[in-house]
Amino acid sequence: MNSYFRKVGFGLSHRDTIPDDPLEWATNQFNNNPTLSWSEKLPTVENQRERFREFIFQDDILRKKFGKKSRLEYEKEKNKLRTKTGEKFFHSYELSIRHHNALNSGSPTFERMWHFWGNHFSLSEKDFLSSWHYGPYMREVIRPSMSQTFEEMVVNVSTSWAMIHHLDNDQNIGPNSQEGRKRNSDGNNRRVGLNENHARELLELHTISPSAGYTQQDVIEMAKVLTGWSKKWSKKNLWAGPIGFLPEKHEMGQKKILGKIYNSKENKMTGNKQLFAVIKDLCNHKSCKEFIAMKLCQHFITDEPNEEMINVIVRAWEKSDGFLPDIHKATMKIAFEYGNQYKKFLMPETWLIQNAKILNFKHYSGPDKFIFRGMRPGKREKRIEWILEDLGHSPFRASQPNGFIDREDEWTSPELIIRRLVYAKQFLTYEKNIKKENASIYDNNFFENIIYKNFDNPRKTLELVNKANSTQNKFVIFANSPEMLKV
Amino acid sequence: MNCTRRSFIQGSLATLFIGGLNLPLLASSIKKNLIIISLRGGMDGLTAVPVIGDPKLKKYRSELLLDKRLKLTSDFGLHPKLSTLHNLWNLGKASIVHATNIPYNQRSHFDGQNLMESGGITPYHEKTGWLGRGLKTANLDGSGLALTLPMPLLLRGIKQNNNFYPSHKSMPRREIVKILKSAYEGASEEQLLNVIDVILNRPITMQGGNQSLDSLSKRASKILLDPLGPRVAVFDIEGFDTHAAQGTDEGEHANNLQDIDLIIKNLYEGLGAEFDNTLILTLTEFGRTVEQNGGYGTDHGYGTAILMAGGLLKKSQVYSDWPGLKKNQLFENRDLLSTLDSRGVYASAMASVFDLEFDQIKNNVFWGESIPNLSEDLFKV
Repeated sequence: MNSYFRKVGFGLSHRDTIPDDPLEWATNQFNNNPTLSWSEKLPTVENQRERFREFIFQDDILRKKFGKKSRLEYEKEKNKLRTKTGEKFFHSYELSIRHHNALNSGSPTFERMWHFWGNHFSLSEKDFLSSWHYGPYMREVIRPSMSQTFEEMVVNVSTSWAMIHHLDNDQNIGPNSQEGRKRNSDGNNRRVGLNENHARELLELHTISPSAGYTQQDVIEMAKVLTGWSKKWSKKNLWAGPIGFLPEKHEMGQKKILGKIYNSKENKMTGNKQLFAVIKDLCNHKSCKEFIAMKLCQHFITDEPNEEMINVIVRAWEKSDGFLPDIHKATMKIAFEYGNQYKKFLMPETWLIQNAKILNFKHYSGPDKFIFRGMRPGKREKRIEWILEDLGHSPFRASQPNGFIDREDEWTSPELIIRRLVYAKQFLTYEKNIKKENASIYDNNFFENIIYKNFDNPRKTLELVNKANSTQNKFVIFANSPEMLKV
Repeated sequence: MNCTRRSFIQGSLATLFIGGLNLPLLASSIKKNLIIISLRGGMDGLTAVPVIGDPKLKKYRSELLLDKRLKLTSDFGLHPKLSTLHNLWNLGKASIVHATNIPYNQRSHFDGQNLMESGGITPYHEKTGWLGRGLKTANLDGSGLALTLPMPLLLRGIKQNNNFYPSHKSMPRREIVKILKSAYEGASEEQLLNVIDVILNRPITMQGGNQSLDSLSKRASKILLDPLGPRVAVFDIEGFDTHAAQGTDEGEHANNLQDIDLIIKNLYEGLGAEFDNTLILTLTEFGRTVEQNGGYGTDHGYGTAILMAGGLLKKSQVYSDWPGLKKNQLFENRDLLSTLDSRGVYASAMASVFDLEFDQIKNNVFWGESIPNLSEDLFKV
């Protein structure tokens, strides 16, 4: 059952000892939230909002100054601004932190789960979210929520700066709210009103999914509930201000979602409480539990989970009232029990981390510590960004709000498989450039050691790897063996 | 001349085409190609194809007017960076559909790009693309080629799509890949086995090259020339979202238009005689505001233009039910109105290239929604 260490974690390195009780090893990791491995001070949401503010403020000045006369001059100045404010730096920096943590964490199953939630509540590419905001969002919104209930996680995400910016809830203004009426009556042609973007994704992607059978009217009503949750605009902060509930933007009156009335005449609710009440009901909806359980099984077990697996997680949910550590443990258990019968194709980033951990790669993800000094990232610091981009799975740059699709057919186009072949070949060169003697650890004992620790049928994989005549070719075969691609 | 709301069916060589020249040909004997160029960010139809017949354009965007525009008709010009398209226009092999868009007017890039690819009405509702469903309707498994790394939504919905977006890193040796192939065989991993076969049997045209549009489009024409190879190709160009310093003859939008022209040029030169059995169409999520903004750019709008090239076009023409640029003729007083559901253009193009009835496409790809059949107006049937 040694493949389990890869099924739910990142595998075991040649130095690791094999845990006596794999299931206990996996579930214990959810008893508390481990601290991150990165030794330097980590950028916070506040830090990055300030950098973002500085960027939009200065960019506006540049646009007015050069926009008309010289596009080239404008581009040149804007480029300097991007460097100065860290827009060019923080994407690869955050990826370095993420990979350093995955490789050095004593709780790999927790880290796998963290990545899972980051993708479930995905931000997609928009307004530099990947450089300034995704990292702090992962650390300050997703990670602490993992020791809370799912409901609390949804509340934290839905009221986070990153998600509100990502899904345009700033522009979701009650047409009959104080601000809506004012702005629609001042003769300006640009009318304001509901923006359904956040509402739709909250229902469709984050909680109950379309299987709940909600209607377009439900989406509209959900949008009304969300009105008011907005960045606070000010002359100083521009649209990088902090999040708050702004009653002047909130659509008054009752709302009806999935048949239930919120803020009825009999049961009045202040505007900011309405969202919490609706999220509570969404998270208790049968479709929500089944949808989340399905996605967990799909991530850890198989593309096509069956009802039996899903029900195990749903039962743990109901028993614990949606307490995430219990849901995570149930997922570990069900992955353990079904491990021998099903295989799951790993998404490129997980595959990359597993190879790095098992094959002892230290240098693909950049230096162990470095900080922002108002410069662009160096070549080594930026490498991780290129690798992930090239593998087709740059986790902070999903093209759509539904994140990366967790299915084999999404990842098996010819070019994407070619990428795995060429990078498996490339791995060693990153190591050699740094430290020549590192290559010498890769003798036959090394491969025997790691294959024994990480595979259910070690002899078969060892035979396969031994068909190669060089360390480099062994890497190519090991990393692309059927068992490493699918576990 | 003043442009009012009316139809333009004008073409430089329109009258030279006579129906009697059509020879009876077996549909299946010719390999026809369809190339879609996705323009991400929202292409400004009024920069690519300005309406010179409307004096209001000057008032709205005095800083964005073209100096050296090319002439199409008495009412419409063409951006100078689209010179290949202009040459093809003179040969009867380029057309414009103007004041058109997908039925989406909410101005979000995400939602718009999702819908331009899925062909649907509700963002993120469909998990397949209109081109993938079109290929499926025509039973053309394995005929789709993406010149991008992730498989675009546009092509999803059919099996065995291929993609080509060469890595700058070198491949392992062939015998190593073959060892892996035998391992996939042994493990009964069908999907991996299929892919590794495609990789091992890649024609010479799909080896080497780089990720520049120049290289990709040159390669694409070679790949499309293979009689057994793909017949549908999808390109991606980003960067049309020019909120600031959009430029005129030169500038950001101009550079992007030049990219389109480069793809068309390389396909025209590379496909040779087969260009006559080819259609190239652009696709974008929305147009841009008619009026320039404070930063000498334009914001997200609605109606835009489709640029088309290839020998399967009926003739050179600007096809439009022109809505006019008076304030009250604009969508929400700010955007060029879309008077034509662009899905009708794409459906008609697929009907022409895949030798299917329009209604088959309409029903199987667009859920029977009422989209206009433009086959006879725009394409050779």
